[in-house]
Amino acid sequence: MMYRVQRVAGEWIDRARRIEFTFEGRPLEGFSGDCISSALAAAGVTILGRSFKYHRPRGLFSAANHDVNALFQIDGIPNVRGDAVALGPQFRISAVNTIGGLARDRGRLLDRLSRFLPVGFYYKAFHGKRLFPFWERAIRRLSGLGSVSFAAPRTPTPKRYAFCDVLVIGAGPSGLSAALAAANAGARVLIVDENPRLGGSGAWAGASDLSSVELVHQVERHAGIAALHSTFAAGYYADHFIALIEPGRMTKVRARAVVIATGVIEQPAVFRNNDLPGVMLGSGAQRLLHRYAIASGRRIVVLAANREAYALCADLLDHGLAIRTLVDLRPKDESDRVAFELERRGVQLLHGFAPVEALADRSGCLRALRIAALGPDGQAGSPNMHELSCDALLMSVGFAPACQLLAQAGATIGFSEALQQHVPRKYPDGVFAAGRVRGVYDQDRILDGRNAGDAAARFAGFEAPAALTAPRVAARRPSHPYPIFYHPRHKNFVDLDEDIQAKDLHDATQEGFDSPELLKRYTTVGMGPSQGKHSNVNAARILARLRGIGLADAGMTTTRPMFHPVALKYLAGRSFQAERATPVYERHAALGAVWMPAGNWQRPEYYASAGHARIECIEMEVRAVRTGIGLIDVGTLGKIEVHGPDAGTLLDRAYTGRFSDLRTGMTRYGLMVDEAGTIIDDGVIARISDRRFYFTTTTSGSATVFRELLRWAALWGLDCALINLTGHLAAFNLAGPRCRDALKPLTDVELADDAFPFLAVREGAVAGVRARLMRVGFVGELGYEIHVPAGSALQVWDALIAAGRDFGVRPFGVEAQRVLRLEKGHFIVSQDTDGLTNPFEAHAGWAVKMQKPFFVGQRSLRMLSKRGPRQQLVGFTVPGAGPPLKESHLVIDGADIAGRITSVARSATLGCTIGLAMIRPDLARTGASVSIRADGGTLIDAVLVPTPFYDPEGRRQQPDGAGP
Amino acid sequence: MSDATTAAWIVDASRLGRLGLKGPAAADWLRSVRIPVPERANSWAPLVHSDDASAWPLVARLGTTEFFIETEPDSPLRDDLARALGDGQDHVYPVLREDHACVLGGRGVEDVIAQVCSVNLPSLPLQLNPVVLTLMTGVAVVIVAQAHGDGRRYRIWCDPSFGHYLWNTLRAIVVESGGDELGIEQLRMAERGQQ
Repeated sequence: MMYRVQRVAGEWIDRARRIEFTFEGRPLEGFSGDCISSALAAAGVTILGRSFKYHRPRGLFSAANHDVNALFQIDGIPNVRGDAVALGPQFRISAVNTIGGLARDRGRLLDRLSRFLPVGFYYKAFHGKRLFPFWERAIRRLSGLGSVSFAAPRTPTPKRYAFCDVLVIGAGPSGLSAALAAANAGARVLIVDENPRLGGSGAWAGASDLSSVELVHQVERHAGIAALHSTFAAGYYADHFIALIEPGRMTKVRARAVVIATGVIEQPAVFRNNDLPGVMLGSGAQRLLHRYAIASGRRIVVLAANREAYALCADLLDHGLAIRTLVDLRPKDESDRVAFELERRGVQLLHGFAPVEALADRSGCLRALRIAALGPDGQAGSPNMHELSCDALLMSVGFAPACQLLAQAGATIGFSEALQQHVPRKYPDGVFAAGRVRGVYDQDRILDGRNAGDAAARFAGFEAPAALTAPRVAARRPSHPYPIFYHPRHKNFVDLDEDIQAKDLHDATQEGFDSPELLKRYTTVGMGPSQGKHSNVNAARILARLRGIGLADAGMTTTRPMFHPVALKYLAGRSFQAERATPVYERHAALGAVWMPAGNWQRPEYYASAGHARIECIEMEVRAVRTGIGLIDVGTLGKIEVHGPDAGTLLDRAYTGRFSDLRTGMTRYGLMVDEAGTIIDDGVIARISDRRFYFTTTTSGSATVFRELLRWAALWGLDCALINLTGHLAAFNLAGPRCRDALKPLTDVELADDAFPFLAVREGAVAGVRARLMRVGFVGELGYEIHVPAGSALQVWDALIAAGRDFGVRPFGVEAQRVLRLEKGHFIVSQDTDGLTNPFEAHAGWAVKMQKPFFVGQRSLRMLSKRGPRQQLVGFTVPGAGPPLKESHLVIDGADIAGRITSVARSATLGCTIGLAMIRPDLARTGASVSIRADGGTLIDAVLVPTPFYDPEGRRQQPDGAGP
Repeated sequence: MSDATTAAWIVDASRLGRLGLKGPAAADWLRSVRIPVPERANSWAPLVHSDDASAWPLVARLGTTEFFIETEPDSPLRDDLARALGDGQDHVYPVLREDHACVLGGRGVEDVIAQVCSVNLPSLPLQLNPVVLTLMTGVAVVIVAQAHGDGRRYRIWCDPSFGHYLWNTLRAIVVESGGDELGIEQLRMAERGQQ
């Protein structure tokens, strides 16, 4: 059992400040400076949680920020990393992935059923459709980690950008040294480390390493170095763009050069029951000791295969911990003075032995290690076994480089047989590595860091000395080539995240999944929260051995961001959603507007009226336009001006119609298609003067149309200038038979029919504001579209409302406008058309002037006109009452789908349901009947009719015909 | 109000006068009416000939052939220029500018900027009078960085339809960082006091 020891030099905890918290409902106490895991360890909590698949008890394993065993649920927040998050007052902590609590977890029965859960279980279980729902429910209930709580507090997680000359990732001895070298050359340096304090392994792996302490002091005092603690680099992106996750926010750093000094990650040995609470990594024990003054056990055994294990023993002995035995996988080296010293201090050294299995006590925690002499095959070969009583087994058998960022940056990673470690072979420009991540161990790390810092500074444009001395790649072998030991009863875990056993990898390979990428996906090895940091290398060793190849040839899986699990809130940041509003937004709100999104605009769908349902409000708005006056804000339409001698030519080429012959003071409908002849936008084009046109686009199409016109004007070398006025102009449509009466007193524009005919455009003042008026008829009544500068919009809106009051003016929203235009049979681009619709199919062939020399899409339309339509937009009516029809309901012909509804509404004006549908051309015969499948499968008969449905002669758009 | 006591501040400057023009002859036209013309693309100059690095009235060159002028709110200059330009002349065309405008400044301004814009604005060399056209909180903006006391202020313009959103977003971040909203007269009086 772990326990707190006397004060340790450099410890992070403040023993004067106690913090109370609970774990699984049990009140406990820790110190300020404790992380969650250390506080639990100090409180004697050995079992921290249950494993992902088999619900086996698990304890502290690495204390290295990525320990899957140390994930917790805290006050509704799932999967908090206990090794990385500081203990806070009144934390209510519980284990994740338990059924009925940690101690009584009902899921633990799964451990006994493990033989029924073979590798690739998901794929095998889901093979048949019949059992799919059963397995899906069962797996969802039994697996997973924390649970999402919608009651969890919402905390802001801003993102920020930062810039530096040299970014150093990792503040161990090599990283610190690199930062100092680069800063001394004049570079602005940012150094980041995932731990709360700088120093990295130098702060615990060698307590006598005074040079590391001095490096930390120098870095902290250097004016050219900014340091971020508790921050990890989550991913490397192109051009030295690195995502840093700080407590509470993400920072995106753009650096001129990057030094990656991320060190190594200690790897476990694989043997039966290597996951018992009490079995952990040697480096984890040292972190616990030096940071939090915690002893990893009272009866410690060390499993060794490198020099670090001996340093570990010496370190723990120096701090008064009891080490009984060191079991070395290697044969005895008689010249090893460190080993001799350990023996002198009372540690039993056993060389050439391998672990057979760890044994558990009744609580499921480690009580002993069973070992046997190694055979020639590297496995426990002797039938004579020794049982070593212990409550802590510390493994120090090898390392894997934390080279994920290097790989993401594009570095070539190779495998060193001498080191038994992957190392970077080739670096992309501006990316450098230092220290153990590239195989440089011991004191040479500092020299290596200095060289990398100098090189990074030079790359960033500063003068720095070239490397005089090349550091040595380690002359020893820090990692054992195959620390994997088999047992007939298995439970020798390669991946603690996903409960993957060595036999699972054997089975998968035998089933043909014999490449790293396939093996990963089939077994899920390396796919858990730690992303294979403790499992990928051992999995690759097993695969390589099974295939009879070297690790260099076996390859590794691709590493992708994120390095550690990142809460989605950090990626979302503040959720910037740029929304546009017209200048009379507040007037709409005051009128009770119910909003709907239109592109990135917010528009009134309709105006709520007390005591009336939505549909009634819309019908009242429609009625106002048909019988009196309606006013709609159409400021969201794209509004573009084009000036210059070639303005007409540009429009002739960009639109299907002809505009160079448009008379000044008149407007014309404009239809835009792409090179394939597909309708992409439409609007009204007005000629203001000989060399000046003004035109509207659809609400969502304005930016695209403007960009395309700019491109074409440049491409064709036309002498014209385009100005996007979309947001700078407000626009209102005053429509209805009485609208002229209301407008007349407000304007100096002559409104009489002969002076301002249908489809004309005029400029003048409205309510004292310079305005542009277009007499258009989208809603099928006499109407004026009034365009004014955005800054004067409120003044004009208020004046129109006031002037219209005597005539029953009523603001109307998008829904009423949709009904009104549908009654007129006008289509809406991208609602009634889709990504394949050409003008001939939408009955808009009249807007296409094929005789023009050229326009975008002309060649395609020529071919399409010969081929004939593949679909046809038609109008239909449904007499009488019946189930309501909706857009996208299908038109059915026999057993076939023959089309779909694109627009449909109940027209109070016409007393029936009307709509547009895109159907097969052979069915598009006026007077024919078609079947439409409504919700629930009911078939409704509809009659195809010509459009417009309402006022087909267009008389109401003329003043003479506009009487109520 | 002073920068020494305010973490960051934001000012609504929308009521300043402004107009725009574009076209291949726009620079020549400006010279003809004695308006200083910034020689480099994406740079600005004080509207009145001077070396004032923090002038309020300014003329900004957006790209090569487009210009944007901002004047004092009660200055007749804007109307005079608009009248002179009329509906446009040969290769000079008026551009309606109803921009939303705001100014960010204060001791904490760089931290606010770091949260809303991916461009390294603090590194801009002020002596070159740079104009930056970029995105801020997802909105296309024009930014001018100017000296302000010991630090900088950032003048920001955007399409007015985004003004409501941009203002609310920036203001919320300023307030969250311990700063506040100021009136433009309050700011300018403080500046005059410092002079």
